[in-house]
Amino acid sequence: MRAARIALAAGTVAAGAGIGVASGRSMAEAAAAVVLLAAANGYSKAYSP
Amino acid sequence: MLVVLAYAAPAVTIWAVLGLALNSVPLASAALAAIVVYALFYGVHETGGRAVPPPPGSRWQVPSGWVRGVSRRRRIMVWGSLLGPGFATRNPYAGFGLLALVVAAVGNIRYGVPLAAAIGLSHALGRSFALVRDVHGPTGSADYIQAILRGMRWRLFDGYALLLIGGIAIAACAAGFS
Repeated sequence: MRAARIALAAGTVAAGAGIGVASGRSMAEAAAAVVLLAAANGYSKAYSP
Repeated sequence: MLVVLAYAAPAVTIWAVLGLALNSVPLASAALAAIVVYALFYGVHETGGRAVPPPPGSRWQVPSGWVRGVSRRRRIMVWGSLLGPGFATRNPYAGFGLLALVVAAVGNIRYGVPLAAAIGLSHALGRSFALVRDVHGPTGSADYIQAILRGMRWRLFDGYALLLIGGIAIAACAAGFS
Protein backbone atom coordinates (compact mmCIF):
# COMPACT_ATOMS: atom_id res chain seq x y z
CA MET A 1 0.00 0.00 0.00
CA ARG A 2 2.76 2.40 0.98
CA ALA A 3 4.81 1.47 -2.10
CA ALA A 4 1.79 1.96 -4.35
CA ARG A 5 1.17 5.37 -2.85
CA ILE A 6 4.80 6.41 -3.37
CA ALA A 7 4.69 5.13 -6.95
CA LEU A 8 1.48 7.07 -7.62
CA ALA A 9 2.98 10.25 -6.16
CA ALA A 10 6.16 9.85 -8.22
CA GLY A 11 4.09 9.11 -11.32
CA THR A 12 2.07 12.28 -10.76
CA VAL A 13 5.25 14.38 -10.54
CA ALA A 14 6.54 12.69 -13.70
CA ALA A 15 3.22 13.35 -15.47
CA GLY A 16 3.46 17.00 -14.49
CA ALA A 17 7.02 17.19 -15.82
CA GLY A 18 5.83 15.56 -19.05
CA ILE A 19 3.07 18.15 -19.39
CA GLY A 20 5.61 20.90 -18.74
CA VAL A 21 8.01 19.60 -21.40
CA ALA A 22 5.20 19.06 -23.93
CA SER A 23 3.75 22.53 -23.45
CA GLY A 24 7.16 24.17 -23.97
CA ARG A 25 7.23 27.87 -23.23
CA SER A 26 3.48 28.50 -23.52
CA MET A 27 2.63 27.10 -20.06
CA ALA A 28 -1.07 27.31 -20.92
CA GLU A 29 -1.65 23.88 -19.40
CA ALA A 30 0.01 24.96 -16.16
CA ALA A 31 -2.19 28.08 -16.02
CA ALA A 32 -5.31 25.98 -16.61
CA ALA A 33 -4.28 23.53 -13.88
CA VAL A 34 -3.75 26.37 -11.42
CA VAL A 35 -7.12 28.00 -12.20
CA LEU A 36 -8.82 24.62 -11.66
CA LEU A 37 -6.91 24.19 -8.39
CA ALA A 38 -8.17 27.61 -7.26
CA ALA A 39 -11.78 26.59 -7.99
CA ALA A 40 -11.36 23.29 -6.14
CA ASN A 41 -9.71 25.07 -3.21
CA GLY A 42 -12.57 27.55 -2.92
CA TYR A 43 -15.20 24.85 -3.21
CA SER A 44 -13.55 22.50 -0.73
CA LYS A 45 -13.46 24.94 2.16
CA ALA A 46 -16.17 24.49 4.71
CA TYR A 47 -18.40 27.47 5.27
CA SER A 48 -16.79 28.59 8.51
CA PRO A 49 -16.01 32.33 8.54
CA MET B 1 -26.73 35.80 -7.96
CA LEU B 2 -25.96 38.45 -5.31
CA VAL B 3 -23.88 35.89 -3.42
CA VAL B 4 -21.79 35.06 -6.50
CA LEU B 5 -21.26 38.74 -7.32
CA ALA B 6 -20.41 39.63 -3.70
CA TYR B 7 -17.72 36.93 -3.65
CA ALA B 8 -16.39 37.35 -7.22
CA ALA B 9 -15.98 41.13 -7.55
CA PRO B 10 -13.66 41.65 -4.54
CA ALA B 11 -11.74 38.47 -5.38
CA VAL B 12 -11.01 39.52 -8.95
CA THR B 13 -9.99 43.02 -7.80
CA ILE B 14 -7.69 41.88 -4.98
CA TRP B 15 -6.06 39.12 -7.03
CA ALA B 16 -5.53 41.45 -10.01
CA VAL B 17 -3.80 43.99 -7.73
CA LEU B 18 -1.70 41.17 -6.28
CA GLY B 19 -0.79 40.05 -9.81
CA LEU B 20 0.25 43.59 -10.67
CA ALA B 21 2.37 43.92 -7.51
CA LEU B 22 4.05 40.51 -7.76
CA ASN B 23 4.89 40.94 -11.44
CA SER B 24 6.25 44.45 -11.03
CA VAL B 25 9.33 43.10 -9.26
CA PRO B 26 11.78 40.46 -10.53
CA LEU B 27 10.55 37.46 -8.52
CA ALA B 28 9.88 34.94 -11.28
CA SER B 29 12.94 32.69 -10.94
CA ALA B 30 12.81 32.60 -7.14
CA ALA B 31 9.05 31.95 -7.23
CA LEU B 32 9.49 29.08 -9.69
CA ALA B 33 12.08 27.44 -7.43
CA ALA B 34 9.80 28.04 -4.44
CA ILE B 35 6.92 26.33 -6.29
CA VAL B 36 9.02 23.18 -6.73
CA VAL B 37 9.96 23.04 -3.03
CA TYR B 38 6.49 23.99 -1.74
CA ALA B 39 4.52 21.73 -4.09
CA LEU B 40 6.67 18.66 -3.49
CA PHE B 41 6.84 19.20 0.28
CA TYR B 42 3.11 19.65 0.83
CA GLY B 43 2.16 17.29 -2.01
CA VAL B 44 4.06 14.43 -0.37
CA HIS B 45 2.54 15.21 3.05
CA GLU B 46 -1.03 15.55 1.79
CA THR B 47 -0.97 12.43 -0.40
CA GLY B 48 0.61 10.55 2.50
CA GLY B 49 -2.47 11.37 4.58
CA ARG B 50 -0.59 13.62 7.00
CA ALA B 51 -2.20 16.95 7.89
CA VAL B 52 0.95 18.24 9.59
CA PRO B 53 2.71 20.56 9.12
CA PRO B 54 -0.32 22.79 8.64
CA PRO B 55 -0.25 24.87 5.46
CA PRO B 56 0.49 28.59 5.82
CA GLY B 57 -2.61 30.62 6.46
CA SER B 58 -4.52 32.93 8.72
CA ARG B 59 -6.42 32.02 11.88
CA TRP B 60 -8.34 35.27 11.74
CA GLN B 61 -12.12 35.02 11.82
CA VAL B 62 -14.79 37.50 10.82
CA PRO B 63 -15.72 39.39 14.03
CA SER B 64 -19.31 38.59 14.94
CA GLY B 65 -20.10 42.30 15.28
CA TRP B 66 -19.50 42.75 11.57
CA VAL B 67 -22.27 40.35 10.57
CA ARG B 68 -24.63 40.25 13.55
CA GLY B 69 -27.61 42.58 13.56
CA VAL B 70 -27.01 43.86 10.03
CA SER B 71 -29.09 43.43 6.90
CA ARG B 72 -28.81 40.21 4.87
CA ARG B 73 -27.39 42.12 1.92
CA ARG B 74 -24.67 43.73 4.05
CA ARG B 75 -23.82 40.38 5.67
CA ILE B 76 -23.36 38.79 2.25
CA MET B 77 -21.17 41.72 1.15
CA VAL B 78 -18.95 41.41 4.26
CA TRP B 79 -18.53 37.64 3.89
CA GLY B 80 -18.05 37.92 0.14
CA SER B 81 -15.34 40.58 0.46
CA LEU B 82 -13.45 38.61 3.10
CA LEU B 83 -13.94 35.01 2.01
CA GLY B 84 -14.08 35.35 -1.78
CA PRO B 85 -10.40 36.26 -2.27
CA GLY B 86 -9.39 33.54 0.21
CA PHE B 87 -6.68 35.34 2.19
CA ALA B 88 -8.57 36.43 5.29
CA THR B 89 -9.58 33.01 6.50
CA ARG B 90 -8.24 29.60 7.47
CA ASN B 91 -6.93 27.55 4.53
CA PRO B 92 -7.03 23.85 5.40
CA TYR B 93 -5.32 22.75 2.17
CA ALA B 94 -1.86 23.77 1.00
CA GLY B 95 -2.95 24.38 -2.59
CA PHE B 96 -4.03 27.91 -1.78
CA GLY B 97 -0.49 28.98 -0.88
CA LEU B 98 0.73 27.80 -4.26
CA LEU B 99 -1.59 30.15 -6.13
CA ALA B 100 0.26 33.34 -5.18
CA LEU B 101 3.61 31.68 -5.95
CA VAL B 102 2.37 30.79 -9.45
CA VAL B 103 1.25 34.38 -10.04
CA ALA B 104 4.71 35.61 -8.97
CA ALA B 105 6.39 33.05 -11.24
CA VAL B 106 4.77 34.47 -14.38
CA GLY B 107 7.17 37.42 -14.34
CA ASN B 108 5.14 39.40 -16.84
CA ILE B 109 2.35 41.90 -16.07
CA ARG B 110 0.59 41.23 -19.38
CA TYR B 111 -0.01 37.57 -18.47
CA GLY B 112 0.37 37.73 -14.69
CA VAL B 113 -2.53 40.10 -14.02
CA PRO B 114 -5.12 38.17 -16.13
CA LEU B 115 -3.96 34.88 -14.58
CA ALA B 116 -4.26 36.35 -11.07
CA ALA B 117 -7.74 37.70 -11.87
CA ALA B 118 -8.77 34.29 -13.25
CA ILE B 119 -7.50 32.61 -10.06
CA GLY B 120 -9.47 35.08 -7.92
CA LEU B 121 -12.64 34.56 -9.96
CA SER B 122 -12.24 30.80 -9.92
CA HIS B 123 -11.66 30.67 -6.15
CA ALA B 124 -14.60 32.98 -5.45
CA LEU B 125 -16.96 31.00 -7.69
CA GLY B 126 -15.93 27.76 -6.00
CA ARG B 127 -16.41 29.32 -2.58
CA SER B 128 -19.81 30.81 -3.37
CA PHE B 129 -21.06 27.56 -4.95
CA ALA B 130 -19.95 25.73 -1.79
CA LEU B 131 -21.96 28.22 0.26
CA VAL B 132 -25.05 27.59 -1.86
CA ARG B 133 -24.40 23.83 -1.53
CA ASP B 134 -24.22 24.09 2.27
CA VAL B 135 -27.37 26.19 2.51
CA HIS B 136 -29.39 23.61 0.58
CA GLY B 137 -27.62 20.51 1.90
CA PRO B 138 -27.98 18.48 5.10
CA THR B 139 -26.76 20.04 8.35
CA GLY B 140 -26.21 18.92 11.92
CA SER B 141 -24.08 16.36 13.69
CA ALA B 142 -25.15 13.49 11.38
CA ASP B 143 -23.21 15.22 8.62
CA TYR B 144 -20.05 15.57 10.75
CA ILE B 145 -18.46 12.24 9.80
CA GLN B 146 -19.23 12.92 6.14
CA ALA B 147 -17.55 16.31 6.47
CA ILE B 148 -14.41 14.68 7.94
CA LEU B 149 -14.29 12.11 5.12
CA ARG B 150 -14.88 14.83 2.53
CA GLY B 151 -12.00 16.83 4.03
CA MET B 152 -9.68 13.81 3.75
CA ARG B 153 -10.65 13.29 0.10
CA TRP B 154 -10.08 16.98 -0.70
CA ARG B 155 -6.68 16.87 1.02
CA LEU B 156 -5.71 13.90 -1.15
CA PHE B 157 -6.93 15.68 -4.28
CA ASP B 158 -5.04 18.82 -3.27
CA GLY B 159 -1.87 16.79 -2.70
CA TYR B 160 -1.95 15.19 -6.15
CA ALA B 161 -2.69 18.57 -7.75
CA LEU B 162 0.35 19.98 -5.94
CA LEU B 163 2.53 17.11 -7.18
CA LEU B 164 1.31 17.60 -10.76
CA ILE B 165 2.01 21.34 -10.69
CA GLY B 166 5.33 20.65 -8.96
CA GLY B 167 6.26 18.39 -11.89
CA ILE B 168 5.33 21.13 -14.35
CA ALA B 169 7.46 23.58 -12.37
CA ILE B 170 10.42 21.17 -12.45
CA ALA B 171 10.17 21.07 -16.26
CA ALA B 172 9.94 24.88 -16.37
CA CYS B 173 13.03 25.16 -14.13
CA ALA B 174 14.95 22.70 -16.33
CA ALA B 175 13.96 24.66 -19.46
CA GLY B 176 15.08 27.88 -17.81
CA PHE B 177 18.51 26.54 -16.92
CA SER B 178 19.13 24.77 -20.24
